Amino acid sequence: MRDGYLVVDAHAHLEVHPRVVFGGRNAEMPTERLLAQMDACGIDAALVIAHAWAGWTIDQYRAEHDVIADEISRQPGRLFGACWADPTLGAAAVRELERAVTELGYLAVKLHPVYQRFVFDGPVVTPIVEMASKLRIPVIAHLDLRVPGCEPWRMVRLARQHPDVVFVMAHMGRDARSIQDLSFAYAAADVPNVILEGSSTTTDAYGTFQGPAEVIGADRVLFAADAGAFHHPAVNLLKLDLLELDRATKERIFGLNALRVFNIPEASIERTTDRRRGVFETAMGQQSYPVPAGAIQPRARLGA
Amino acid sequence: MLSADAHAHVFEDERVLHGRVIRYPTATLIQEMDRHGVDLALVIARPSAQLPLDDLIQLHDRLAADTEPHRARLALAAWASPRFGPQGVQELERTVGTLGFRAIKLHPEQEQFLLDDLAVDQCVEVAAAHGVPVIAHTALAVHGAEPWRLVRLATRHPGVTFVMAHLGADGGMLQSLSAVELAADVDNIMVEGSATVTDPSATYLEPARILGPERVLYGSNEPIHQMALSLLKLDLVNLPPDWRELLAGGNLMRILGLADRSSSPESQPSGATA
Repeated sequence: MRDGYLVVDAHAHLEVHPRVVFGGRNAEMPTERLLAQMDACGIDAALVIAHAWAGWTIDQYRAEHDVIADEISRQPGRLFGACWADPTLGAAAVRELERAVTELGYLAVKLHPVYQRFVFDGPVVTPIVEMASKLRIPVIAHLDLRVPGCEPWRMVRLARQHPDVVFVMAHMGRDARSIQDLSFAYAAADVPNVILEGSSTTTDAYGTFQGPAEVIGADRVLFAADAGAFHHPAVNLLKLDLLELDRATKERIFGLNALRVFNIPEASIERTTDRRRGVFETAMGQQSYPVPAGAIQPRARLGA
Repeated sequence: MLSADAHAHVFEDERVLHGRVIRYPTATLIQEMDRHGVDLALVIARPSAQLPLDDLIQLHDRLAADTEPHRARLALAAWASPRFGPQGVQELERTVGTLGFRAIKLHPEQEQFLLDDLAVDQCVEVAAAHGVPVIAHTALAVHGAEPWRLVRLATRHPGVTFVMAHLGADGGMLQSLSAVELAADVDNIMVEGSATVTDPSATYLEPARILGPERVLYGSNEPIHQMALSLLKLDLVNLPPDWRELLAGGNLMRILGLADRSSSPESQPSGATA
C-alpha cells in the first residue's frame, strides 16, 4: 500500500533466466527481485505479463506461459498473469490463448504488433479478439506511433468494432509528444472500452495520469510501471505522489481500476506495508521527495 | 555535492504550450530547486511558437531581467534558429557576448529545420567563438531532430560541446541505448536525459558506462516534466560517488564555465534522507 491506497501494477514482467536484449542489456528479473521491489515501493499486487520475443514458435509461447504461470502460482494474492498471443500463428495461437486462460488462470492477453509484425486492427487479429471476448478478458497492446500498422489510433478503431472487449493501451501510446498533449486520451475519449495505462512513460506526471483522467475519466486510467529489469516502479509511483488528486481519483488509478479491469477480487489481494507518500528506497538509501510538486501545468481548456 | 539541472524553463506570464496552460515564474523554479536541493539550473529561453526576431529579442531581454536576482543560481541559454539568418547571429552574439548567456539552444522540431543543415553552422560558430555549449533538442520521431543529425553537426564543429537533450525522446531508443551509441561516435557530444521514460539505468548508468561519466548530464525539463522524477531516477542507480558528482552537477558546471563555483555546503543525495 502507499499512503493508504491499494496499489496494483498493471504491467510487470518476470524473466526467470538471464536474457540479453536491446544490444547487451540483461533482462533477467527473477520473482524474488520483483517481489522485493514491490514490497519496498508499497505495490500490493502486479499483473505479470508473460513476455514473448520476435519470431517465437507456438511451443515457445506454451513454455513461457507454463513457466510464468508456475511462478505466479507460488505468489497468490501478489502476482496475477496476462498471457501473450501472436495472431500470425493463427489457430494455434487461439488455442494457446484459450489454454492459458482456462487452464493456467491468465486474466488478460497481450498483443505486440511491433515484435510480431502485424497490423493491429487487421483481420489477422480478429480470431484473437473474438476469443478474448468469449473468455471475457481484456486485450493489452503495446503500440507505437512510428511503426506502420502499430499506431495507437488503430486500437480506437478495433475497440469500436468490438465494444464488448476491454482494450488497454499500454504506455499511453508510447509517444512523448502524445503523452504531453494527451493526444491518445482525446482519441480514446468517446470509446468507453479503451483504457489507458501509464507504464514506460516520460517524467511528465500530469501527462501520464492526471491529464488522461481529466479527459477520459478516472475510471479508465491505470497505474502501471512495466516493472522488470529496466523500468523502476518508483518513478511512476512518485508521479502519483506528486499529483494533488482527490482520494477517489487516486484510489481508482492506484489500484481499484486494475481490479475491475482484470476481474481480481479485492479480498484476494495480500496487502503490503503502507509506504509513505514521496518516500522511496534508492541506491542512496531511503529518500524523501517533497510532495505535492511545486507546480503542475494543466491542460488548456476549450476556449482558453 | 553540488547539484545542477541542465534543462529548465521559466514562464513569467501564462501561455499555452503543448496544449497545456503554463505559468512557471522564476520564483517557482527557485522554490522547486530549494525543495530538492538543486544549486543551479540552466534556464533555456523557450518561445511557445515561432517568433519574429524582434519578439525573440524581447524574450531574451525579459529572461535576463527576470532571472537577474537569482543569477548565482540560474545560468541562461539563448534560443537560436537558422531562419533568422545574419540578424539571428547578431542576436546570439548579443545574448552570449553582452547579456552573459552561457549556452545556446537549437530546437529543430519547433523551428522546423534540419539539425545538420549547413545553415545551422552560423549559429554554432557563435557558440564556438564564445566557448559555450550548444543544447540540441533531439527526437527520433521528428524529421530534422533525429539524434544522428547531431552527430553530423558535431563532426563539423569538433571544438564545440554539444548536448543531446532528451536522448532522442524515444523510449525504444533509450532502452536500446541507441542514442548513446550514436554519441559515442564523436567526442564532443554529451547526453542529457530529461523528459525520458522510466528506465533509470538507461538514462544515467549505461550512458556513463559507455561514454564516460564526464559526458552525462542530469536535467529535468521543468515545468512540463518534474525535477523530482529525474532526481529519483538518478538516485535509483548505483553510481560510484565520483560518477554521481559529475552527473549530478559537476559536468554541467564544467561546460558552462562555472567549475570554480564551490560545492553546496549541504552535501546530500537528491532527495532528502527520509
